[in-house]
Amino acid sequence: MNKIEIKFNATLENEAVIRNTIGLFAATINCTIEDIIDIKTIVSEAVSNAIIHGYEQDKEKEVLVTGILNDNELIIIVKDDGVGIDNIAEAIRVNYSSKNRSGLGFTIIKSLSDDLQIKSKKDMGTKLIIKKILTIKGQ
Amino acid sequence: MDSRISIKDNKNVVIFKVEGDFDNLLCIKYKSSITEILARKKAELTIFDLSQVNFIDSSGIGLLLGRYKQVNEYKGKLIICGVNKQIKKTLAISGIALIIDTYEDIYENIKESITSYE
Ligand SMILES: Nc1ncnc2c1ncn2[C@@H]1O[C@H](COP(=O)(O)OP(=O)(O)OP(=O)(O)O)[C@@H](O)[C@H]1O
Ligand SMILES: [Mg+2]
Repeated sequence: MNKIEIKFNATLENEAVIRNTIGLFAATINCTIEDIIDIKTIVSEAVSNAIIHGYEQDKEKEVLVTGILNDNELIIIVKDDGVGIDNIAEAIRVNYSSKNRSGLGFTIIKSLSDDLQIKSKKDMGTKLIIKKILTIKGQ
Repeated sequence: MDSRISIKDNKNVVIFKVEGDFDNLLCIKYKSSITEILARKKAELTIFDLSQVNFIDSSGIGLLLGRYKQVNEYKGKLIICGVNKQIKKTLAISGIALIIDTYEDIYENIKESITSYE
Protein backbone atom coordinates (compact mmCIF):
# COMPACT_ATOMS: atom_id res chain seq x y z
CA MET A 1 0.00 0.00 0.00
CA ASN A 2 1.18 3.51 -0.84
CA LYS A 3 -0.63 6.71 0.03
CA ILE A 4 -0.40 10.40 -0.84
CA GLU A 5 -2.44 13.27 0.59
CA ILE A 6 -2.58 16.82 -0.71
CA LYS A 7 -4.45 19.72 0.84
CA PHE A 8 -4.69 22.84 -1.27
CA ASN A 9 -6.48 26.15 -1.59
CA ALA A 10 -9.62 26.21 -3.72
CA THR A 11 -8.24 28.02 -6.73
CA LEU A 12 -8.18 26.82 -10.33
CA GLU A 13 -4.47 27.69 -10.42
CA ASN A 14 -3.97 24.48 -8.44
CA GLU A 15 -6.01 22.23 -10.74
CA ALA A 16 -3.14 21.30 -13.08
CA VAL A 17 -0.69 20.81 -10.20
CA ILE A 18 -3.00 18.33 -8.49
CA ARG A 19 -3.95 16.30 -11.58
CA ASN A 20 -0.29 16.07 -12.63
CA THR A 21 0.77 15.03 -9.12
CA ILE A 22 -1.80 12.23 -8.91
CA GLY A 23 -0.80 11.17 -12.44
CA LEU A 24 2.83 10.94 -11.32
CA PHE A 25 1.76 9.02 -8.22
CA ALA A 26 0.01 6.41 -10.37
CA ALA A 27 3.07 6.23 -12.63
CA THR A 28 5.10 4.83 -9.71
CA ILE A 29 3.60 1.42 -10.46
CA ASN A 30 4.53 1.68 -14.13
CA CYS A 31 1.00 1.86 -15.50
CA THR A 32 0.22 2.80 -19.08
CA ILE A 33 0.25 6.37 -20.41
CA GLU A 34 -3.42 5.95 -21.26
CA ASP A 35 -4.21 5.20 -17.60
CA ILE A 36 -2.24 8.25 -16.51
CA ILE A 37 -4.18 10.53 -18.85
CA ASP A 38 -7.48 8.99 -17.66
CA ILE A 39 -6.44 9.66 -14.06
CA LYS A 40 -5.46 13.24 -14.82
CA THR A 41 -8.86 13.80 -16.46
CA ILE A 42 -10.75 12.24 -13.54
CA VAL A 43 -8.84 14.33 -11.00
CA SER A 44 -9.32 17.48 -13.04
CA GLU A 45 -13.10 16.99 -13.11
CA ALA A 46 -13.39 16.15 -9.42
CA VAL A 47 -11.10 18.96 -8.28
CA SER A 48 -12.69 21.61 -10.49
CA ASN A 49 -16.12 20.63 -9.15
CA ALA A 50 -14.90 21.03 -5.57
CA ILE A 51 -13.42 24.45 -6.38
CA ILE A 52 -16.17 25.81 -8.64
CA HIS A 53 -19.32 24.28 -7.13
CA GLY A 54 -18.29 23.24 -3.61
CA TYR A 55 -16.52 26.46 -2.73
CA GLU A 56 -17.63 28.96 -5.38
CA GLN A 57 -13.90 29.60 -5.93
CA ASP A 58 -13.39 30.94 -2.42
CA LYS A 59 -9.60 30.77 -2.26
CA GLU A 60 -9.57 30.65 1.54
CA LYS A 61 -11.22 27.21 1.49
CA GLU A 62 -9.32 23.94 1.22
CA VAL A 63 -9.76 20.79 -0.85
CA LEU A 64 -8.27 17.47 0.23
CA VAL A 65 -7.16 14.91 -2.34
CA THR A 66 -5.97 11.45 -1.33
CA GLY A 67 -4.43 8.83 -3.60
CA ILE A 68 -4.08 5.23 -2.42
CA LEU A 69 -2.34 2.53 -4.42
CA ASN A 70 -2.98 -1.11 -3.59
CA ASP A 71 -1.18 -3.24 -6.14
CA ASN A 72 -2.75 -2.11 -9.42
CA GLU A 73 -5.82 -0.54 -7.83
CA LEU A 74 -5.88 3.23 -7.41
CA ILE A 75 -8.35 4.95 -5.09
CA ILE A 76 -8.75 8.69 -5.46
CA ILE A 77 -10.66 10.59 -2.78
CA VAL A 78 -11.60 14.22 -3.37
CA LYS A 79 -13.18 16.01 -0.43
CA ASP A 80 -14.52 19.50 0.11
CA ASP A 81 -16.53 21.02 2.96
CA GLY A 82 -18.55 23.21 0.64
CA VAL A 83 -22.20 23.61 -0.30
CA GLY A 84 -22.81 19.92 -0.92
CA ILE A 85 -25.16 18.30 -3.42
CA ASP A 86 -28.86 18.32 -2.67
CA ASN A 87 -29.95 15.85 -5.36
CA ILE A 88 -27.18 13.44 -6.38
CA ALA A 89 -29.30 11.60 -8.97
CA GLU A 90 -29.93 14.88 -10.75
CA ALA A 91 -26.30 16.02 -10.44
CA ILE A 92 -24.90 12.95 -12.18
CA ARG A 93 -27.30 13.16 -15.09
CA VAL A 94 -25.59 13.83 -18.42
CA ASN A 95 -25.60 17.54 -19.25
CA TYR A 96 -27.05 18.59 -15.89
CA SER A 97 -25.34 21.68 -14.54
CA SER A 98 -26.44 24.10 -11.86
CA LYS A 99 -24.09 26.68 -13.32
CA ASN A 100 -24.85 26.78 -17.03
CA ARG A 101 -21.78 24.66 -17.79
CA SER A 102 -21.92 21.59 -20.00
CA GLY A 103 -22.64 19.16 -17.15
CA LEU A 104 -20.17 16.55 -18.34
CA GLY A 105 -17.83 16.20 -15.36
CA PHE A 106 -19.57 13.30 -13.64
CA THR A 107 -20.22 11.56 -16.96
CA ILE A 108 -16.49 11.70 -17.75
CA ILE A 109 -15.46 10.50 -14.28
CA LYS A 110 -17.90 7.58 -14.45
CA SER A 111 -16.80 6.39 -17.85
CA LEU A 112 -13.05 6.66 -17.15
CA SER A 113 -13.17 4.95 -13.74
CA ASP A 114 -14.20 1.54 -12.45
CA ASP A 115 -16.29 2.85 -9.56
CA LEU A 116 -17.59 6.18 -8.31
CA GLN A 117 -19.15 6.78 -4.92
CA ILE A 118 -20.58 10.18 -4.06
CA LYS A 119 -21.12 11.12 -0.43
CA SER A 120 -22.76 14.48 -0.17
CA LYS A 121 -25.48 16.41 1.61
CA LYS A 122 -26.63 19.98 1.26
CA ASP A 123 -24.33 22.26 3.29
CA MET A 124 -22.31 19.24 4.43
CA GLY A 125 -19.64 19.09 1.73
CA THR A 126 -18.89 16.46 -0.85
CA LYS A 127 -16.65 13.43 -0.91
CA LEU A 128 -15.96 11.44 -4.05
CA ILE A 129 -14.37 8.01 -3.81
CA ILE A 130 -13.15 6.89 -7.20
CA LYS A 131 -11.61 3.54 -8.05
CA LYS A 132 -9.51 2.80 -11.08
CA ILE A 133 -7.84 -0.48 -11.95
CA LEU A 134 -4.54 0.23 -13.68
CA THR A 135 -2.86 -1.74 -16.42
CA ILE A 136 0.80 -2.39 -15.79
CA LYS A 137 3.03 -1.79 -18.82
CA GLY A 138 4.22 -4.91 -20.58
CA GLN A 139 1.88 -7.27 -18.73
CA MET B 1 3.11 24.31 -18.97
CA ASP B 2 2.78 27.19 -21.40
CA SER B 3 -0.75 26.67 -22.65
CA ARG B 4 -2.21 29.10 -25.14
CA ILE B 5 -4.59 29.63 -28.04
CA SER B 6 -3.38 31.44 -31.14
CA ILE B 7 -5.54 32.73 -33.94
CA LYS B 8 -5.02 32.51 -37.67
CA ASP B 9 -7.49 34.66 -39.46
CA ASN B 10 -8.03 34.22 -43.21
CA LYS B 11 -10.82 35.62 -45.31
CA ASN B 12 -13.53 33.06 -44.71
CA VAL B 13 -11.70 30.77 -42.33
CA VAL B 14 -10.71 31.32 -38.71
CA ILE B 15 -8.32 28.85 -37.15
CA PHE B 16 -7.84 28.60 -33.39
CA LYS B 17 -4.76 26.61 -32.54
CA VAL B 18 -4.86 25.32 -28.99
CA GLU B 19 -1.60 24.31 -27.31
CA GLY B 20 -1.01 22.59 -23.98
CA ASP B 21 -3.76 21.96 -21.45
CA PHE B 22 -7.27 22.76 -22.69
CA ASP B 23 -8.65 23.21 -19.17
CA ASN B 24 -10.51 25.72 -16.98
CA LEU B 25 -7.67 28.22 -16.78
CA LEU B 26 -7.14 28.31 -20.52
CA CYS B 27 -10.87 28.63 -21.22
CA ILE B 28 -11.29 31.48 -18.74
CA LYS B 29 -8.37 33.27 -20.37
CA TYR B 30 -9.56 33.00 -23.98
CA LYS B 31 -13.33 32.42 -24.02
CA SER B 32 -14.46 36.03 -24.34
CA SER B 33 -11.97 36.94 -27.06
CA ILE B 34 -12.80 33.84 -29.10
CA THR B 35 -16.52 34.59 -28.76
CA GLU B 36 -15.91 38.20 -29.78
CA ILE B 37 -13.82 37.26 -32.84
CA LEU B 38 -16.46 34.81 -34.06
CA ALA B 39 -19.26 37.33 -33.55
CA ARG B 40 -17.35 39.96 -35.51
CA LYS B 41 -16.01 37.78 -38.35
CA LYS B 42 -18.91 35.39 -38.83
CA ALA B 43 -16.52 33.32 -40.95
CA GLU B 44 -17.94 30.49 -43.00
CA LEU B 45 -15.54 28.00 -41.48
CA THR B 46 -14.14 27.89 -37.94
CA ILE B 47 -11.45 25.37 -37.13
CA PHE B 48 -10.15 24.28 -33.76
CA ASP B 49 -6.73 22.73 -34.25
CA LEU B 50 -6.06 20.45 -31.26
CA SER B 51 -2.91 18.83 -32.64
CA GLN B 52 -0.79 20.43 -29.90
CA VAL B 53 -3.20 19.72 -27.05
CA ASN B 54 -2.00 17.20 -24.51
CA PHE B 55 -4.94 17.40 -22.14
CA ILE B 56 -8.64 18.24 -22.38
CA ASP B 57 -11.43 18.12 -19.81
CA SER B 58 -15.10 19.16 -19.63
CA SER B 59 -14.21 22.84 -19.67
CA GLY B 60 -12.45 22.54 -23.03
CA ILE B 61 -15.37 20.47 -24.31
CA GLY B 62 -17.74 23.14 -22.99
CA LEU B 63 -15.89 25.85 -24.87
CA LEU B 64 -16.03 23.86 -28.12
CA LEU B 65 -19.75 23.13 -27.70
CA GLY B 66 -20.52 26.75 -26.89
CA ARG B 67 -18.65 28.01 -29.96
CA TYR B 68 -20.32 25.34 -32.10
CA LYS B 69 -23.71 26.72 -31.04
CA GLN B 70 -22.57 30.28 -31.68
CA VAL B 71 -21.30 29.47 -35.18
CA ASN B 72 -24.48 27.55 -35.94
CA GLU B 73 -26.57 30.62 -35.21
CA TYR B 74 -25.07 32.46 -38.16
CA LYS B 75 -25.06 29.31 -40.29
CA GLY B 76 -21.31 28.86 -40.23
CA LYS B 77 -19.46 25.58 -39.92
CA LEU B 78 -17.16 24.49 -37.10
CA ILE B 79 -14.79 21.55 -37.21
CA ILE B 80 -12.16 20.11 -34.89
CA CYS B 81 -8.94 18.69 -36.29
CA GLY B 82 -5.64 17.23 -35.08
CA VAL B 83 -7.46 14.98 -32.61
CA ASN B 84 -5.26 12.29 -31.06
CA LYS B 85 -6.48 9.01 -29.59
CA GLN B 86 -6.83 10.21 -26.01
CA ILE B 87 -8.64 13.42 -26.91
CA LYS B 88 -10.90 11.45 -29.20
CA LYS B 89 -11.85 9.29 -26.22
CA THR B 90 -12.92 12.30 -24.15
CA LEU B 91 -14.81 13.80 -27.10
CA ALA B 92 -16.60 10.47 -27.56
CA ILE B 93 -17.59 10.18 -23.89
CA SER B 94 -18.99 13.70 -24.01
CA GLY B 95 -21.07 12.98 -27.07
CA ILE B 96 -19.44 15.95 -28.82
CA ALA B 97 -18.08 13.67 -31.55
CA LEU B 98 -21.67 13.02 -32.64
CA ILE B 99 -22.39 16.72 -33.05
CA ILE B 100 -19.18 18.26 -34.35
CA ASP B 101 -17.12 16.97 -37.29
CA THR B 102 -13.76 15.85 -35.95
CA TYR B 103 -10.64 14.87 -37.89
CA GLU B 104 -7.50 13.11 -36.77
CA ASP B 105 -5.49 14.91 -39.40
CA ILE B 106 -4.16 18.42 -39.03
CA TYR B 107 -5.90 21.11 -41.05
CA GLU B 108 -3.19 21.28 -43.73
CA ASN B 109 -3.94 17.67 -44.69
CA ILE B 110 -7.72 17.92 -44.86
CA LYS B 111 -7.68 21.36 -46.49
CA GLU B 112 -8.23 19.81 -49.91
CA SER B 113 -11.60 18.38 -48.96
CA ILE B 114 -12.87 21.68 -47.60
CA THR B 115 -11.13 24.17 -49.91
CA SER B 116 -14.45 25.57 -51.09
CA TYR B 117 -14.26 27.88 -48.10
CA GLU B 118 -10.92 29.47 -49.02
N1 LIG C 1 -18.14 19.27 -5.13
C1 LIG C 1 -19.37 19.69 -5.43
N2 LIG C 1 -20.06 20.48 -4.57
C2 LIG C 1 -21.31 20.91 -4.85
N3 LIG C 1 -21.97 20.62 -5.99
C3 LIG C 1 -21.34 19.83 -6.90
C4 LIG C 1 -20.02 19.33 -6.67
N4 LIG C 1 -19.66 18.58 -7.74
C5 LIG C 1 -20.70 18.63 -8.58
N5 LIG C 1 -21.71 19.37 -8.10
C6 LIG C 1 -23.04 19.59 -8.73
O1 LIG C 1 -23.21 18.61 -9.74
C7 LIG C 1 -23.45 19.22 -11.00
C8 LIG C 1 -22.88 18.36 -12.13
O2 LIG C 1 -21.45 18.32 -12.08
P1 LIG C 1 -20.67 18.05 -13.43
O3 LIG C 1 -19.22 18.09 -13.16
O4 LIG C 1 -21.20 16.82 -14.06
O5 LIG C 1 -21.12 19.29 -14.35
P2 LIG C 1 -20.62 20.82 -14.27
O6 LIG C 1 -19.45 20.95 -13.36
O7 LIG C 1 -21.80 21.66 -13.95
O8 LIG C 1 -20.16 21.09 -15.79
P3 LIG C 1 -18.76 20.62 -16.42
O9 LIG C 1 -18.16 19.60 -15.52
O10 LIG C 1 -19.15 20.04 -17.75
O11 LIG C 1 -17.94 21.85 -16.52
C9 LIG C 1 -22.83 20.59 -10.88
O12 LIG C 1 -23.40 21.52 -11.79
C10 LIG C 1 -23.13 20.93 -9.43
O13 LIG C 1 -24.44 21.40 -9.28
MG1 LIG D 1 -17.78 19.70 -13.49
